[in-house]
Order: sequence, then structure tokens, then C-alpha cells
Amino acid sequence: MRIVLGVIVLAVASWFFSALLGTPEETASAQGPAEWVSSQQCAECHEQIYHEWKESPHANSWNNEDVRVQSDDFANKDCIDCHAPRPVFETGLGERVLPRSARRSEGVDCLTCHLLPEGGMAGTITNPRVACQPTTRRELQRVSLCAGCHDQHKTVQQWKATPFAEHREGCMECHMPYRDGTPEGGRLHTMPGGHYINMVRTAVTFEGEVNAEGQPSVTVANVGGGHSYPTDERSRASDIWWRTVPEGAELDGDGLATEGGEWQHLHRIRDPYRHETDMVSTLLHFGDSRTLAIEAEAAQNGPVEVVLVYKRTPYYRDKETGLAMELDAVSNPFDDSELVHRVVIEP
Amino acid sequence: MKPTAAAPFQTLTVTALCSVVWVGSCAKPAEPAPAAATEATGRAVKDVLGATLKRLGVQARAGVISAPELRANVGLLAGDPAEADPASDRLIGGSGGAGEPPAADAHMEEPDVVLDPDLVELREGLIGMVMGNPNQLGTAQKDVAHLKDEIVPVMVAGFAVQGRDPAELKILIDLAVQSPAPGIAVAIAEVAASHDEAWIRRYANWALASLAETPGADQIVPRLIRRLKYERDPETLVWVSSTLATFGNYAGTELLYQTTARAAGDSAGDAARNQLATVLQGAQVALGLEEMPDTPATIAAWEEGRLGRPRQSASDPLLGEVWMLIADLSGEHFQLRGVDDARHTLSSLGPWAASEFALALEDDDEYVRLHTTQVLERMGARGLGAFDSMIAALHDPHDAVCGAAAEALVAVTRGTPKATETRDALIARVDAPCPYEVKVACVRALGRTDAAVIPADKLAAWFQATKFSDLRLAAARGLLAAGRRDDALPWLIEELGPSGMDPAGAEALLGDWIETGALGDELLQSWNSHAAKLSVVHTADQARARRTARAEVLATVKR
Repeated sequence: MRIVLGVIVLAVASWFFSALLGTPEETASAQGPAEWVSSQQCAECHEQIYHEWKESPHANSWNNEDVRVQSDDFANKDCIDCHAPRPVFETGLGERVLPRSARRSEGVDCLTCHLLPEGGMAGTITNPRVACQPTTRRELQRVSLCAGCHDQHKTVQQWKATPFAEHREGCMECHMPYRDGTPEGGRLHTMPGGHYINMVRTAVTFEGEVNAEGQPSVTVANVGGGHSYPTDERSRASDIWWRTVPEGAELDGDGLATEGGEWQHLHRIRDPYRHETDMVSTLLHFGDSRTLAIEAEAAQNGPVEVVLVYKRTPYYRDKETGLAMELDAVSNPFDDSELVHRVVIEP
Repeated sequence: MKPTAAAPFQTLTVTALCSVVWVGSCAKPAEPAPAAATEATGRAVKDVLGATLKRLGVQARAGVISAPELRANVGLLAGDPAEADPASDRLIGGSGGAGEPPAADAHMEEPDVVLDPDLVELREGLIGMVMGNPNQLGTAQKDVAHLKDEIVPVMVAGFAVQGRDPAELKILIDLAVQSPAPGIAVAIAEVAASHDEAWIRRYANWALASLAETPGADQIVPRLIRRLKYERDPETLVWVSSTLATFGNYAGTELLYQTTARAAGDSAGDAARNQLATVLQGAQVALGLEEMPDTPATIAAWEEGRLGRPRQSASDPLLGEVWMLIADLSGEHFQLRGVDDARHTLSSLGPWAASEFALALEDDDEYVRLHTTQVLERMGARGLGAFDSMIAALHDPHDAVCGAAAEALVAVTRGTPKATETRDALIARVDAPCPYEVKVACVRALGRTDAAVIPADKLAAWFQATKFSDLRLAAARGLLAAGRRDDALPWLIEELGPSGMDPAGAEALLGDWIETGALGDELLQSWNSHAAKLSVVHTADQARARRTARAEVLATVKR
């Protein structure tokens, strides 16, 4: 009888402590679905992570309007490979991803990174008691997990040429930081990158000066990007524009002078697409800086406002008409780009 | 061919998808699973690529970005061993620019032979003589022709001399074609592809036509096809296109035809008009016609696989080039841009190449198989020679290949008697135990078959039986094409709205259908009035508003 009681007490105690120690996610359910078919299933237990992902560019990779236009509504089938990829663990880490035929509208979803060929999930902790029965897979932190898509446009190769690679600081360190700064809080699944201008601002510095002859110039330096600035070819660009401004000009809400001359384009930082055979890459690799003189006569005699803007498309869209314009037709660089840095160079 | 093939992950047994708001519990998908997706496939694969490259005596090119390096995962994580050879990163400081990808042409290497110094002196002497007096060209050409094969290595080596003046290069071309040989063709093709000055590229392309009957010279055809993609000088494109036709490849004829629209006096337009006539005469002979065909008839004959050289005329060097391009499709080449170049080139080959692609569909690298189906899809009816192999590929060990084969089959058999056979094979594939991935792909493909063979009842049944938008969207195209508007249109209109899972996909599908005139001109105009104007790219908000407006347009039809 005492043995039976002892077993009961032990069982109750072990249940109590496991419930006490386990996270809500771990103890939610031990009954997994017959098969994993949608990221929406993950929301049952991982609500916060699901919502983070849902806000991320990954979740929008199929429905993003710019992507639809630039891929000709995915008539360019190559784009499907990365915008609706099959699970990375299926194709193999370091392999180029393969396209899905189904559930494409979920884009780069939970299953893309976590679903294992055997049907379980790759996670940070092995736990057979919960619905998705995760298995510890250190590869989740590996650069090669991201490389299947993100090295298509050379980002991983660019990273390998930086000290970050030397110090083994991979994609996660910047793009999937700990949610509250500690491992216990888990990693952020919004995966901030080029769609988050505050992160872009940390990648580069932008300084102006005037030389002895009175000629203004600006220097842009890639000091914090773990890869080239901007990374990616074709779609991303960063432009430098300048204009004359009155001395002591007031600033508007965006930190720009409220009045000034017409904006003049000075320089574009971009890796051209393969068909743009008459262009050369002007990407700013990590650790590199580039000084650009503003040689126009008008810039020599008064204050000059210079801005660095970041673009997710190679063209500018007129805010009113939506017309995609070439550089020489642009009058307002902020119509279709975001301000990264701004300097005023005084004579 | 692939050293560490990723484990095929054929059967995710995906049975219910994302298409609707998740209404079931975590343990129970919202919709009963179709028949078990797992099945044993008997489709055997083997190292076709490696064996063929070995037989032809050529080697696969190395990828610009190293897949083996990534696969080994060396140096990509704390605690990993450091990278053995950082200099092996071929990208940084490598090709980086935007020019044409390196050709890495195995046949372009400097011949490893000792050149006869007397002949080298003769070559340079002849060039100098003609430079000094252009009237001496005929005499110089006779001197070269007299030496026949003996002078070929010397002439080939002449193209490798760095910094040669373009005018000298032109004379070298004039002389070299007097000793026709595959090596000469390859050397001139290099000039035609990569010289900085457009006029010498034009001249080189023109000169290549004179080597069209030289055995082994056909190996330059893939190189010329690639120029159709990268060449920017309109007049050079004229000569690329016309020379291709001389080699029995009409991939550039459409472009040639378009260039004839240029104004009189425009050098490219004038050249195109002259050359198009020559191309059509050649097509007349090849097709055995009594009268010269017009351009549309010539292009149709090409696209339908009735025009072009036969398989047996392809030289081994050409086959070597083709199989090196097939190797470019493999997983060893990490970047899709290289894959796409190869796919472009291969899909522009004549119908003879279909038998090579049929073989490639049996290779053990799923990337080769997947991309080969896409090559065939782009070929259309020119790829019909691979029909049986494509049918077999519906049971490929990898889901992605099955799905791609389904879509390719429809493209290849459209408008041919094989369309019915394709339809039946696709229906059988869906009706048998079938992974959801493959089912969606096959249903999508069925929706694109010829209107006369669309299995409307089947599509309607699949459409009704599912709540998932991807399968519905796949079936909807065929339903609309078959005139079963009431089955699909109301749901498609809803899909355009904010709760739609793939509103852009629904919009694209509807746009294609309305463009056929199915709803009349008035509605077509109304639909198009909401389109983004030329060069306008809508923002996400504008796109949503556009779809809402278009849904309202269609609601009048629904009512």
C-alpha cells in the first residue's frame, strides 16, 4: 500500500513540477496534428511568434506588390523558389531551395525553417511532450539555414568577407536578436532587415566636409552592415542627393530643411541586375568608405543639404501618380524612399 | 553527379493548406485528408549527367558560388572549424560586375601545341600586308586556304594575342575562315560574344555564318543563343539571329522580324530587312516548300518543331556544350542566374535537343530534373520528343519535379494530338494517391490545357470538395476556360477582397480570362480602366483599392 501511495505521490509531484517548470507552450498539448500543413497551426501554441512572423517581410513574400510586379506575377518561376520555398531541412542546409506548389500565399513560413523531413520540428529544445515534438537542431542558428535564399544575391558571400564571419557572428546576431536581450526570451521572429529603416541606419555613417578650396563632399561608410550596403542586387538601392539651402533654414518634421533648391542626384549605391550589362556594381562593402565631391558650381558658395536615402526598388515612384521614374526625372527623392542620414555642409 | 544529394523529402503528406482561416483544432486539420500521399514510386534515377559528360569528354563548369562549400557548412557557425581556404571565395573580388557571366568555355583554351614559328610569322605578315593594302586580301586568303589544316592552330592562336587592333582582328577573321575548322569557329565566336567594339562583334557574327557547314562548328550555337539575351547592340543582334538561322536555329527570327520595323536608314533595320529575306529563303529550303514562307509561318514551323536540324547532325562538340549546360542546371551551381542562363540557352535549341532532355530527366540530381522540365516547358512543342520521359516524370521521386513536369507537359503538348494523353495522365496522377503538392500542381496544369480537352467536371468536383484557396485557384482557371463561370467566379470575386488568401493570384487569373474577351469588350475596358497605367507601380494600398474596384466590376456579372 505504501508503495502504491509512494508511486502516486511521485507521479503527482512530477506532474506538479513539470507544470511549474514548463512554459505554457511546452505544456499546451501532447497531441500533435496528423501532419503540419500551415503556419496557422503553429499559432495555436506560439501566438507571439506567429504574430511577429505575420508582420514580417517573410510572411508577405508572396503577396508583396513590388515582388508581384518585378516577378511578373511570378511568371518568372525562379522567384517562386525563395518566395514560397519548400522546407529548408528537406532540401538540405546549404542547398539552393526548391519551390512549393501549394500554400504559396504563406510565403516564407514557419514550416520553411522548422519542418523536418521526418515530420517533426527543428527547435532549440528537444521535447517529445508537446504537440510539435521539437528536436534540438543547432543548424537553426547556422548561416547556411538562410543561405539557400539569401545567398542567391550574394549576401552570405559578402558576409564571409567581413570580421563578423571571422568572429562567427552570423545572421541571427543582427536579424534575429533575443526578444528581450536574453536567451530566455527567445529570438525575435520579425527578423528585422532592409524593411526596417532604423536597422539600415546602423549600417552606415554619413559625414560632410569642405576642403581647403571650399568644395563640399560627403563620405558614406559601411561600418555596421554585416554584408555589403545595400545587400542584394537589383531590388535594393541607396542614393545620395544634395541641394542648396538657405543659411539657418528651419527643419520640418522629418529633419529636412523646409526650403531649398532642387534636389540633385549625386551617387547611387547598387548592384545591377544581370541584364544591366552597361552598369557596374557600386555596392559599399563592409569596412569601405566612399567620398564623393559635390562639384557643381551652385554647391560651392552656400550651405548644402545632403541626404542618403534607402530604396527597396530600383525605381522611384511618383507619390501622386505612381509613375516609376528613372533617376533623371525624379524631383522629390522622398517620394519612394526612406531617409537614412542627412548632413548640412556649411561653406 | 551530385556528391551529397539531399534526402528526398517526397511525402510531406500535406493534405490541408493555408487557404482558409484555420478553424480546426491543432490536432485536427479542417478538411479530411485525401488518400494517403505516401506512395512508392518506381521512377529510377541514375548519374546520367556524369556518364554523359564522361562519354563526351567534357567537364562540368565550377559554380561561381560554391555549393559544396555551403553544403559542408564550413566556417558558418561559432565552433565550426575555420574555413580552410578563404581565398576560395570566388565572388568577392571576382566576377561581381554586371557583365555577361563568364563563359568558362572548355573549348576556348589555348591549344596546348607548339606553333610553327614560320606560320606565325606568315600569319602576322599577311595581316600586316592587308593592313597596308586592303586590295591584297584576296591574295592573303589564297595563301591561308592553300595551307588548309596545317595553319589552323596558328590562326586560332592569333585570336589569343592580347590588345590586337580591331582592324587587324577583322583581317584575321577574313583569313581564318579560309581554313574552316571547329577551333576557328570557337575563336571567332569569342570575338562575336565579348569584344568591346560593336562593329567587330557584328563582323564576327556575320563571318560565323560561312562556317555553318563545317563539321563541329555547330558547337558555337549555344554561345550565339546566349548572346540573344545579353547583346545590347541592335545591329549585332541582327547578325547573331541570321547566323543562328544559317546553323538551322531560328530562335532569333522573331527578334529579326521585330527589328525590321525600324525606320529606313537605320542600320539595324536595314540589315534586318536584308537578313530576314535570307533567313526565309533558308527556311523554304529546309521545309521543302515551293514558295518562300512568310515570317509567321517560319516562326510557327520552328516553334512546332518542324524546322531545324535533325538530332543526327549534332556534332559531339555541340553535344558536349549542351551537356555542360545541363550540368549548369544542377545543385552544384548555387545561384539561379547561372541556371537561368543555361535554361534560356537550352530552351532555344532545336527540336533535336528534346531527346537529350529526356535523358536528363532521369538524372539523380533533382535540380537537374526540375530545371530540365522547365527547359521543356519553355520549348513548347519543340520539346515533344521528350513526351514519354515527361509522363514518367509525373512519378518522379521528388514532389517538386512531379509538379514541374505536370506544368511542362501541358506547355509541350498544347495544340498537339498529345494534349488528350496529357490530360488523362494528369487526371490519373491526381486520382491516385498523391501528395498535396503534386495534386495542386497537376490541377493547376489541367486548368491550362487546351479548352477542348479541359476536364471541367473533374475540376468542378475538386473545386467543390476543398476549402483551400490554392487548390481552388488551381482549378478555377480551367473552369473559367471551359465556360463554367458559375462554378468559380463568385469565389474568385471574394478572393479579390481583403480576406482573400492570394488576391494577387486571383486577380492575375481573372485578368487572363477577361483578356480573352469572355465577358465582352465593355467589361474588359472597365476591368482595364483600373489597371496600373504604363510604368506605374501600385503601392500595396493602391493594389488593394484596385482589386476592390475590379471586384465591383465583376459583381455586375455575378448578379
